Amino acid sequence: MENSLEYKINKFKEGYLIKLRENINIFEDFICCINDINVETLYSEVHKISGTAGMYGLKELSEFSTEFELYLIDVKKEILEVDKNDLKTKLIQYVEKIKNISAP
Amino acid sequence: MKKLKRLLYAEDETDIQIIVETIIQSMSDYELKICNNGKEVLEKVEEYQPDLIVLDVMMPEMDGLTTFNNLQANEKTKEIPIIFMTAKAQVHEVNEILKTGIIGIITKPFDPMNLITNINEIWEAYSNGK
Repeated sequence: MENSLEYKINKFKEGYLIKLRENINIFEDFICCINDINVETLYSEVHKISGTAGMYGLKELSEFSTEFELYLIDVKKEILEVDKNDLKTKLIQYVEKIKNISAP
Repeated sequence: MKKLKRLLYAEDETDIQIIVETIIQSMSDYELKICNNGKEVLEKVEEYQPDLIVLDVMMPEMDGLTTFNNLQANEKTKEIPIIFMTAKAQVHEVNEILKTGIIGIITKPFDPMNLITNINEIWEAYSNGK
């Protein structure tokens, strides 16, 4: 039934997946500009997905985002030194994950 | 046990705001006000007089911890119980967060269908402990 809670949440999920696809370019921009990357901005974008993907049952993306987020926290705290090649690889994997999960 | 009637929820992510609003309207009889950040919470809290505040930890303009400290510093708001919403990636900070005196934590991402249950359980434990 269209007014049921389940229906509404499914509709929100559809909208969320569309937004994920549309926002892939944000991460692709990070990849392109890896040498000038702002880790704080990247962290903020990953954190958003970390906090929301799981709400819609996108467990794999949620877990991947949390792992990525933890990595970026260590980078921000300078516990980890930024290896641009490593970060680029992680970003490429992340983009692929988002593309696979949000594909129509 | 005091009945929970009025909830103030601070969250900057619109996706989460929409879900929270839908869930609370569909699955509870709480009154709900949503704020985009801690600054809005401080602007609205005295007029709205919530029974409970749910604060996201990471928010722009004013984060959850700063908001909590400001609420605690105000005689009119310091007794309002607070739940923090924190990301799984920040769960190592839970012990530090709990020392602040909040009544509970809900980890993000949360299951929308369990949100009301989670809030009610924390509220019940808090009310029974008073």
